[in-house]
Amino acid sequence: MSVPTGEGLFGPTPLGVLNVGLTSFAPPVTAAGGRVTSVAWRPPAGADPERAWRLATALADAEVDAANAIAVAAFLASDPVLVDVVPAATAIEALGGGARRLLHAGPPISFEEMCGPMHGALVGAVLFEGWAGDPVAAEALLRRGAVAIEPCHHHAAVGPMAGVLSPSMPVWVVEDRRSARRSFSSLNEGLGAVLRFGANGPEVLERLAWMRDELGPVLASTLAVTRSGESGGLPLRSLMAQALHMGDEVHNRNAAATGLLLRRLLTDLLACGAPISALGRVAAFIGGNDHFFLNVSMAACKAMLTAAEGVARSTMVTAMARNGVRFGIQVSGGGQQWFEAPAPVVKGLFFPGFGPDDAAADLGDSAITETAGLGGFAMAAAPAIAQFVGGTPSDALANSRRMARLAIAQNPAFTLPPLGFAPTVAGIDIRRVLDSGVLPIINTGIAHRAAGVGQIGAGITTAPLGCFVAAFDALFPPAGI
Amino acid sequence: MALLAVSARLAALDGVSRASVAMATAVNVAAALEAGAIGPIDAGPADVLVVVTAQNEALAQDALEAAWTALTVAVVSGGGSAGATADEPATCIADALALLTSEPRPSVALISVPGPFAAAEARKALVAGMHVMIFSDNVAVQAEVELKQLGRSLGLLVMGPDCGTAILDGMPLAFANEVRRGPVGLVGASGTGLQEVSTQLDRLGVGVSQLIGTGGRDLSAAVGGLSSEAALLLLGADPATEVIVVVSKPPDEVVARRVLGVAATLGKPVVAVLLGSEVSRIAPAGVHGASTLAAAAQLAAQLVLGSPPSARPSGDGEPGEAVDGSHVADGAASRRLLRGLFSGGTLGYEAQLVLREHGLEVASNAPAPGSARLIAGAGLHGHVVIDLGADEFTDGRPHPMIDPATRDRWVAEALEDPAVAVVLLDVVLGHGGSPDPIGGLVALLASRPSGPEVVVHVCGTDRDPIPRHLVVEALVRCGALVAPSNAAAAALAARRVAARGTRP
Repeated sequence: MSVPTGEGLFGPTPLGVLNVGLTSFAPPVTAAGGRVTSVAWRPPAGADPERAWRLATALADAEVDAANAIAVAAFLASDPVLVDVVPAATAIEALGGGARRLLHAGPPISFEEMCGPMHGALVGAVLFEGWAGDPVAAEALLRRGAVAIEPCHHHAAVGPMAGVLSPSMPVWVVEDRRSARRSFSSLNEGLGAVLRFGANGPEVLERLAWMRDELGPVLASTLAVTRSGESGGLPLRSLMAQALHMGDEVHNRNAAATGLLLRRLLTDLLACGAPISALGRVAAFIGGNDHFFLNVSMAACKAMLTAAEGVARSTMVTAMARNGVRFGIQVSGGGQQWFEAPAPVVKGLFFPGFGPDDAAADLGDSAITETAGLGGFAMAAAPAIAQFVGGTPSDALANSRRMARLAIAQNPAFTLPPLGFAPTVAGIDIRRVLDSGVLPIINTGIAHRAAGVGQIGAGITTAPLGCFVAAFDALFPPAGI
Repeated sequence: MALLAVSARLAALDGVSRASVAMATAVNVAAALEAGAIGPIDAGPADVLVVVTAQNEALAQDALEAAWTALTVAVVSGGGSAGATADEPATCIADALALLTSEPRPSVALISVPGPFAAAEARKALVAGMHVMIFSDNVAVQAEVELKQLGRSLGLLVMGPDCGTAILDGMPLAFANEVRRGPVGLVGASGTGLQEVSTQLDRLGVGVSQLIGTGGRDLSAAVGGLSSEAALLLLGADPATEVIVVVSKPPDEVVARRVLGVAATLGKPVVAVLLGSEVSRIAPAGVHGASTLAAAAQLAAQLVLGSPPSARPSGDGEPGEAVDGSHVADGAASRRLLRGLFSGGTLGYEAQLVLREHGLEVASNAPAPGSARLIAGAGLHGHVVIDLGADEFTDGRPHPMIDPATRDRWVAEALEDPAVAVVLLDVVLGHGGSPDPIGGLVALLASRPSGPEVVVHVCGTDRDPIPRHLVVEALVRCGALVAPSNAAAAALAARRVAARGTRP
């Protein structure tokens, strides 16, 4: 035993008190010359006392801290490089070999449970692959289970909104130079009637066909040239870091990053050997879509987070994703298990003519950017879109500062100029979420609940507490279970 | 650009002649290799290359550390530039500590969250290196033991749970009275017991060095006096403390014997008041026993002053003597019962002992030895003392010392009960308490046509946020009898009941 020394209790230094609870206890201490630090306490751990005690124990668990240090170091060391564009069937084994399989955003879900936009996107993908001749037949095929459907995340892939990937769609290939592991994402279709919002009309299918037949191959040839250069590809970490300094948060704002991407690829694009007419269409398509970089950003974030996966006992979040019905997270120490809660409705601004009743619940794999400390977490870097998602520049700063409370460590590779070049969050700790009650914020687009209408707004939502509670209970089960 | 700024900052450090902070691109790495600054390294454009030329290795190391710091300014500590919003208030202990910008850091955590959550917060505070005072009650005894063992292993004091009061070097924590500073150190497993002893000492002109609450269960067999022992050792080492007073409701005797054994080895005079237990049977020779809280204060004052203290009048007479307001007591023969309504648990407890000593059979929801246990829902029969601060009244509701509404409801009921002859009350003043402790009570007393006599003890000092003498005057004006100590109030109440015949 060690006997208390009385240091900090009485002696020459005026007492410093951390007041946790009744605010009325603070003034007498202050009046007597003491210093009071106040906690605006609220019940932690989902307001469950038994879990709160487990949480207090878990927070003091040095093994967990050590596991998190390993996971976060792997995340920080990862070095995502854009290396290729190939057909999904080539990149992703599960989509190869003629298999009738489609991938979708978020945690696993059956076709029956899915929301409108995801139904529409899957129908569109079946039509695109030629597995059915019309939407009715396509839906029938899906309903009777003749097409396998699985999460993108189960195949190292990510997709925005409905996130549907089919075998012949081209995908970005991002390689983590540390592990040589590869991550994939679809190519961004632009705005308006697009598959990711559930549209599946002729215009959508024609664009997908062009992306398959021209955009994909041209980018593949371009990246072949890029690969032959010094870096063996296009390093993404530095590009994203630069974009953060140019007003992007690389989730809902990718204007700078798209420009940077085009600039970096321009010489190689011109050298790739494609006819000038094709280059013109490709350049116009990329140049005409401020969100073109989003899918690259997502694949890069997926690559960084994959590096942190599978560290036993680690409480670092390695994925956050939504399927339009449920929000799911994965945690490094929890393997590939999903911890889920109902997907929230997004708070935000709606385009004229639409309102909250028209909105689908939160949807898409793009929250992988927030999981990597970008997007809503890096909102301070992107004041220009603060208004677009229903806030002010000072909200944006406050959001980034609040999110810093959830961090396992800081990421010096990505910094936020308006916060004095403060580093972004490296690793969300589920223990910190449960302790503070601060929920990860996500910048996101809002899809119409009906298939094919498209984006009807944008805003901010938070990852539901239930996911983190479920993950915590799995990693730190109650005694006797 | 950011990297250039860091370079400039490093170059400006004492003893640093050159500094370069740059992306580890092939060009930069090659240049550094060529200059002989580095050997072959595995770094790419995503890494940062820091090269420093300094007078010696230690200075170079310092510069590298400065580079690391500059490159990883924490968001939490807010490298915020103009326009950055202020930090939102911290919602948990870890965030509050992380947001602190100035030293020294807090050394004591005062925890008053709902009881079921208190142990978890206390654990976080201990792990963060703070002493802990847990004001909350409704904490499981198992958690209390775990916390106190953890505190002991870390060299940190755990006051509570259910610790109502502490004064550390004059700093009042939770419910504490504004008492003069002086040589008496108090340790107690009883919040209002400590308040009573410290205010009685103040009345006698003797001050307090430290007042350390340990929590109501500390001297139980389950907890084993872990905090009392630690607190006594602290007082033993505290140069400001000359005389030590130990205050408790009936302790586990084995535990009390060990704890008082520790007290007796400190080389300072020790007074013990273990309400309901005889000190002389438990304590080693040399420990002075007292049977009431007021008597303990008297003894301690005598040890400090070297002679029996002369009580300082404070407007309400000498100890044992009541101020008799122009009360409107109804002398009907049917009124025979005593109803004690206490916000201070130990004060209610002591009152039961004094009443019993005066021959009254008492029932209570928190029975002292010799009292019967009140059965919930069975109604009130006979002489009754209710502890309104007991867990069953405070689960989800404020303590009556913070919000006297519950107390006032019970008083209203007692005043209308035709069988009640005397209502015995405490009013506990001091920091942390209700801003209006007697507004409701005075209104009730002033508006009653006639009814039971009301005997009150006001625990407090004239320097408390609400001065004692003002409270006493207000109560006397509406016909209450005010006694100078809790024991005196109980004795007075017992005499008033006895005057009507003791058999209920």
